[in-house]
Amino acid sequence: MKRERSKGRVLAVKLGSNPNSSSLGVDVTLLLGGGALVSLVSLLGGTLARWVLRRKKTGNGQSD
Amino acid sequence: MGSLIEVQPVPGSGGIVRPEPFGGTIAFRKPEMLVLVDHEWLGSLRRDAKPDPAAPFEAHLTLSNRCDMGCRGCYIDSGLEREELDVETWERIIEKLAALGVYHLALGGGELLSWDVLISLAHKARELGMTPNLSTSGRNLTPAVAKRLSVFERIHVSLDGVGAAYAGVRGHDGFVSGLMSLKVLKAYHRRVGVNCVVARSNADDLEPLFRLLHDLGVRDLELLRFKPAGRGAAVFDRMDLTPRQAAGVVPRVLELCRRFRLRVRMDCSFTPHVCASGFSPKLLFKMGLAGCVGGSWLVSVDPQGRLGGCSFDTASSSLSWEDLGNSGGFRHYLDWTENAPEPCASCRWLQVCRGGCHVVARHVTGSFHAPDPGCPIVQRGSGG
Repeated sequence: MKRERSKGRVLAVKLGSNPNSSSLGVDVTLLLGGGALVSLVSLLGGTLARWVLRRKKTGNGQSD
Repeated sequence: MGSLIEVQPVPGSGGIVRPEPFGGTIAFRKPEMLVLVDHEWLGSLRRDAKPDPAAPFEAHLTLSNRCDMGCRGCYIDSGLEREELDVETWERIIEKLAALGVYHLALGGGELLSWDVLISLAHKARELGMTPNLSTSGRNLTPAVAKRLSVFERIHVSLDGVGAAYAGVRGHDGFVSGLMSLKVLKAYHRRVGVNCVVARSNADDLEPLFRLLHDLGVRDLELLRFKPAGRGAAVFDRMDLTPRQAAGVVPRVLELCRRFRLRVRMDCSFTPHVCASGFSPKLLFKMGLAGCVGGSWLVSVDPQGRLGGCSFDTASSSLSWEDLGNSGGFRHYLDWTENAPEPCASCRWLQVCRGGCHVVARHVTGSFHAPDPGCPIVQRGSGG
């Protein structure tokens, strides 16, 4: 069976939530892994998001 | 056992995709992340495009400015006699933020605030589908209170260095008290970390803090740039990083991350410093790095109910919390990059950095629209 090709782009994946009440922070540790790690995180984030939305579409997902 | 993946509801939107000007956002609690996608990615799930930010990802509520610690750089100019909103109004604000679809709520403020109030507001946020986080000096924290803080997703204790380094930033010796609070919280809470303000006096002395956190088993550290807000404005010229420190802070932090295996976040005002370290704009954007996102990804409400693009900009704001959802008041933030002056206009990081911290720029140059004078690229006098 031919798999449907993913369209569109994951623009960014922001990991974690900001624990600070005065400004917004970003996890810079990812920079240690360079572009490959950031791309991997982006790929995994996009895959997970697509999986969740597909489950929701077919009625198996969590309710809102 | 809870599920491994948990999608965060979007209050008020009726769905798990929040429409954005660029496409949409899908938020997860487990693993904790926001996935930003374009319109094409959403495909049939695409809803009406929003010309302006739909809602902030995050709101900061400074609940109180009553405090007796007297920190020299306090950005809300805390003291003993201060006015603040009542609890019922804060509840209405939280309801309004939830209706807008805000994901994360960071609570903080004066350290004489009642823990009961904090906890009840955090429960309110949870009930409405938002994730509450807390930053605190940990003052007056007891084990009994610490046990009740499980409603917060993350709790960070302010610790601006080890020993004298703390006093160098804060102007008083609160290190031992902060350390004790950190240990108490660590005993009862899984996601405990530290916030550290990086100033001229401690920027060259961060290693002891990394070492301490590593030894304590605390894995999360957030580094914040010293801001010229509140009492910080009066001392900014001697607390701001030197050009040498500004140019070296990110490589130094990454080296310490590697050595001590901490997960480190740097706040939005450090974006120029991250950009100046040479990472590609595409890479930085992909990991969600953004300079000033005041009024778009972030809003703040201060103890008097003033609404600002960020916590450091509420004092100059003419907006009230009742203006929440009206992005027109933040046009000067949103349009900054379109009207960027040199060297920002020709800088290849402009769309990521967005001119750095406009609060710093306004304080130093008198203009909100000037480039951040603390940016190493601006200090070199050329575009990136």
